[in-house]
Amino acid sequence: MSAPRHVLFEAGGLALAVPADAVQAIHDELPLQRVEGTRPWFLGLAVADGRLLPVTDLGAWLGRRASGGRTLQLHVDLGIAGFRVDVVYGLSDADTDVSAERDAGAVAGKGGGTVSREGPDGVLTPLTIDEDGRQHRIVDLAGLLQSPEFLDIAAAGT
Amino acid sequence: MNGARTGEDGRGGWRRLASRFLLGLTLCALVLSLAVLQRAASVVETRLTGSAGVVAPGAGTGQGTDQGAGAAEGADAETNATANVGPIVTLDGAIARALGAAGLTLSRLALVCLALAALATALAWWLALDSTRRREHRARLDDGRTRREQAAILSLLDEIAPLASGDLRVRATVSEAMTGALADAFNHAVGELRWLVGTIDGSAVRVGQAVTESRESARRLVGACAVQAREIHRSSNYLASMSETMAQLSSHATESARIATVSVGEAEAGGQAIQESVQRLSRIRDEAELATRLMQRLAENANAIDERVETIRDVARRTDLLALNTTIRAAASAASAFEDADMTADDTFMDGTQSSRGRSASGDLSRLSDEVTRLADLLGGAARDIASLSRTIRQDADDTVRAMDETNRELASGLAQAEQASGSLESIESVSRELQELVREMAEKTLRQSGVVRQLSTNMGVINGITSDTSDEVQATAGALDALNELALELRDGVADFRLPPPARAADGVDGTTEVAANRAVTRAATRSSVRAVDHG
Repeated sequence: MSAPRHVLFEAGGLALAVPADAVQAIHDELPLQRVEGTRPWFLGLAVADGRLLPVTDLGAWLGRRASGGRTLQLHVDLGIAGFRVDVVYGLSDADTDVSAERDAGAVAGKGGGTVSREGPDGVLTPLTIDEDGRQHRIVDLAGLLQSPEFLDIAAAGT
Repeated sequence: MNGARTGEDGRGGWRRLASRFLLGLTLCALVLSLAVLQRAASVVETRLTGSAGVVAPGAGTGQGTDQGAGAAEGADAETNATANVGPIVTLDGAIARALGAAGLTLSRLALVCLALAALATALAWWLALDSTRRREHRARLDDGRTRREQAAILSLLDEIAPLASGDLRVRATVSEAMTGALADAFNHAVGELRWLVGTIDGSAVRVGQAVTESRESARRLVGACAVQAREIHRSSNYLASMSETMAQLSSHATESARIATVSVGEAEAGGQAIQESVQRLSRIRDEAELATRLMQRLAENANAIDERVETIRDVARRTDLLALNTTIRAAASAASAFEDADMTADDTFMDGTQSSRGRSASGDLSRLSDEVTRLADLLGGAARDIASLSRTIRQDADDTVRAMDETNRELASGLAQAEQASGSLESIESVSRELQELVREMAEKTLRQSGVVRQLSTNMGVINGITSDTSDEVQATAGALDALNELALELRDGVADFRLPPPARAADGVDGTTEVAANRAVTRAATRSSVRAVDHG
């Protein structure tokens, strides 16, 4: 028996997936404390498992509509961050596929995917997982956490 | 002349009265003388028969000087005579007492009586002679008067002779003669006769005109009687038809009354049925309200189930979340175990048993996660099913409640309509009862009216007969009028021979004869025309 490798979810209308070992926990209705002077997609700070957790609206950060569901808490080894998503479908053991965007010259990442460093959509690898008729694109969490756009939470003009 | 005649008659009367007085006086004297003589004779006879103390009449008579003695003797004689003779003696006694009262003797009284008798006789003779002379003179006067009167009468006869031929224009001359009064009376009588003839002629003309008008009226009356009889006959037929119609109407009214009675019964039955329906509807309404309340409670229970389902969902979600986290932990543990295994393969110092234990714990956690996930799925599925069922139940309950509300409204409306129908049926029943009574009364009245109409039809027949009789009577009256007209004509013919003086318009050249003839011609023509008209009518 093989361990599940990806968590499937939806944020901002996009079917996404992240590696299961990158997720520490999934929270439901996590209380948030808004932080003044931050961007709208930065929802605020929450307390999870006794630790301070900054939560980001992944759909809004990806330029889509705002998400309103559960919060994915990333593993502390990867970084202290939480992402608000719409729906968590579950875990999947399916293998990844390479989408057509691979030929676009993207940089290959972990698991055979590619990571684009240009804009929010650059954190979406061309690797996908087919589950229940949906193609979940795997998010490059390392690239995302290192992205300047992600790190720049200060609101414009502040 | 009359005054002279009156004076002459007055003088003749005086003479007759005087002669009669004298004659009466003479007769009285004679009677008295005879009585005295008879007294004297009776006295003498008494004395001759030998009664003593009786004085002879001659002695008494001769001794007139002794009036007192004579009177005494006379009185004694009278007393005796009265006792012996009776009534004569009584008269004598009376005379003797009268003479005694007058102081006269019987002899003197006899002389006076004789003298008076002689005087009266002489006066009577003279009166008789005078009367004879006067009678002769009167006879001569009467003879002349008779001749004058005869002449006047002949003249009067000559004047009134045309009257015999009907000429009323004659007029007698009124003169001083004895016939003057006759002429005056004759003229007055002729005037009256002239007025009478004129009146008769005018009356005959007016009678003719009246007869003509009466004949015309009779003709119209006959026509009217005919029309009346025809109309009465027609009305009688109408009345007969009306009587039949009213009889049919009465029959129909009776049938209507029977139907109204049935209608009343049906209305009563309908009212009872509607009352029962109202009661049933009331029960159904109560049951429907109970069902509605139950359905509302069911909906409320469904809501409670939804709340419980929400709790189950929350549990399922939490379970799912727990399963996810467990799975993630298991995956993380498995990944850690693989990494440890790789490291063990690379590091010879690691114990293979620990790696195997780590993989076993990760597998158990993964199975536990899978089991929790399945439970969460089952719980979620059950919650969804329950939610679906609850939603369905609530939806059905809501639909049922709405349907029951609609049913309640319909029931309330139906109940109101049923109560209204019940009230209407009660009104119908009341009206039907009144209608039944009215129809019954109408049937009775119609029946009575039918009898009245039949009686009226019979009376119309009687009236028709009376009209026919009236027509006959009018015909007879017309005949009587004809006879009356003939009588008027005969009356006019009777006075036609009389000639009247021209009236005031005699200057127009129309004399009375012509006018009477013209009136008679008009009367005859009018009578003939009216007769023809009546005959044609």
